[in-house]
Amino acid sequence: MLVSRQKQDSGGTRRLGNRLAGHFKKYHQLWLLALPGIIFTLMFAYIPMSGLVIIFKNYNYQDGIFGSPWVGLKNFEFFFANFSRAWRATKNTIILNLCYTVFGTAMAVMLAVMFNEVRHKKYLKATQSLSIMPYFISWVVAGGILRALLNYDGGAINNLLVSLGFDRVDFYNDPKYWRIILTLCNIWKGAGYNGIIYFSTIAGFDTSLYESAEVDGANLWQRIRYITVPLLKPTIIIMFLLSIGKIMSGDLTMMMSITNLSSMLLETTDIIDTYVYRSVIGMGDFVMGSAVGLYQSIFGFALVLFSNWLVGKFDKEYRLF
Amino acid sequence: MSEKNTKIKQSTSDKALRIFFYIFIGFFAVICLYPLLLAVGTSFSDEVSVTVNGYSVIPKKFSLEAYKMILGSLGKNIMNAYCVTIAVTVIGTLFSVLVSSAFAYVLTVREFKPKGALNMFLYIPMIFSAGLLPWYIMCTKYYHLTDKFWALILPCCINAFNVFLLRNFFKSIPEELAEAAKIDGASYLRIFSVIYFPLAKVGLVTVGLFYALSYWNDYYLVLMFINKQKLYPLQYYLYNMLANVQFIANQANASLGYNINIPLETTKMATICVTIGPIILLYPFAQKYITKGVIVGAVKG
Repeated sequence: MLVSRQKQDSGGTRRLGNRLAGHFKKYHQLWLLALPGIIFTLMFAYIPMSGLVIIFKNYNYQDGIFGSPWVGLKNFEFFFANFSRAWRATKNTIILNLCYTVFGTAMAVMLAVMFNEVRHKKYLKATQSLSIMPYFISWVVAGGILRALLNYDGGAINNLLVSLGFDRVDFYNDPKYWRIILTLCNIWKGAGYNGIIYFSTIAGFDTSLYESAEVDGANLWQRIRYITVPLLKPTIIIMFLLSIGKIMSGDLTMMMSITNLSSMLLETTDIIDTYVYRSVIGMGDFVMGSAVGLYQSIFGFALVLFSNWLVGKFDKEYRLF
Repeated sequence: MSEKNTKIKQSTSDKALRIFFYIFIGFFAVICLYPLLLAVGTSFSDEVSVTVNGYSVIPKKFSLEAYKMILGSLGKNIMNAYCVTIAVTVIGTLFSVLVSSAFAYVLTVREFKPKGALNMFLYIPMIFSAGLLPWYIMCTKYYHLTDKFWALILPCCINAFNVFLLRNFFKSIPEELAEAAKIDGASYLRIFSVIYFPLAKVGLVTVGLFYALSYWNDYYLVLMFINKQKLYPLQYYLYNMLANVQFIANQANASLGYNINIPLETTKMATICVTIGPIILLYPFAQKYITKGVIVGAVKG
């Protein structure tokens, strides 16, 4: 009995080996073509994931990720003892991402609906090209120009306020304005681009719906309200649900370029990414940085699963996995 | 009679709404453009008039002082930054387009079973990443990327979104072409290089532009890996200039050897203009591809 089974097993392995050899004989060129992509994705996306073990280690640069001594859950103790600063970063990340998503999507959808009603081809083209231009300008440049707008002395907005009879506002020393400013920057940079994505979705809708509605005497507003918006709703909901999965991630370069990580503004602008950057690269504090980084990764992952589950509830076809 | 009346009424309300739409869109387009004009206008202004009257789109007092500064005492360093940026953009874009299109082609070969797994393999990092710190340690400690030219290219050389975009372009090429070539005995490598690569020209240009823009605008990788000023690209040079008043003064004095009055604000804006110049010049040519790319990419990301 035992012998025959062993024979069977080795036969199975051989067959698998043969099949693999056959597969590579036939497809080795395809594997070769995919190889560079596979290597770089492994190097810069997958292998760093193994580095997440630093959370259980007392990291020092000399011994590296794998050589540093294990400390178990000690880092977490430190993390929770210093939780208030990490909490502020988390809160800011979530609030800002919510603002970006809600107001950004609203603006993009409004633009898309309006683009769809423009009957002059040239006007449509000109406005569309201008609207997506900021998407291709770097945050560094955007931050520099924002200074020209918001500067206390001579900034275009402060000059406008003065000419309207108001007092100057010291934007760069007052954190309370920055949630609004950052949201507006985000809309400036991305709404045109996203608007064109929604616009292309609208362009794919069945035109006969609009024609019959027009025959029935529906006016423009009614056609938008009762045809375009309901048809767009699934796309909007899916985009919104997907953005839940990204609610813990932030844009370090945007924040650095726009606020210069000014300590005056950290109250509302310190997000998880800037917090990790400041603690690790600025102050060399790997413990807190790694703890917060891990916490961001774990919650981010949980939220991706959660949002995927929600999307699945809503429409199976749009599930990511 | 009354029916006709309502119809006219409807069409005038439609007209009013449509006019509102036109104005709103136009307003948004102007808001997108205005900050850039502000930078251009200020860069051509006289520094004193900017300090007194503030920034403006139309220079109160025209002056080329800032550009003289950029070409003169800052010239050597800005030129160096420009060269780094151009080298990174050109080499990076070619490299990325090659790697991405090869990968994207593999994803379109129907009989190749593991393509589903490869799809997933590329997709997972889009939604889940290790985060800044492990990535940073891996790159600096184990891959030794600090102060290396390739540090500005390799970590971001393959972008999943662009690969999927290319895959969508490849999918629009009729499969019969590849089938016929295969019957004639062409290898996969040959089918890719002779059929797919040349036929998806629009797709390659589109993705190339996306990559080129991301390399041109990159600042993250410099921030992480580069300390040597010789390797500073334009964006990072600009960032230092904007964030640190002393930086620009040091730069100017170092090469002049004595103190001069630096037109600070206008020089900043002139550097901004120099940084976005090529993008703006190429934009009329590029935007047709970009709009197309946005739309193709939206079909299924």
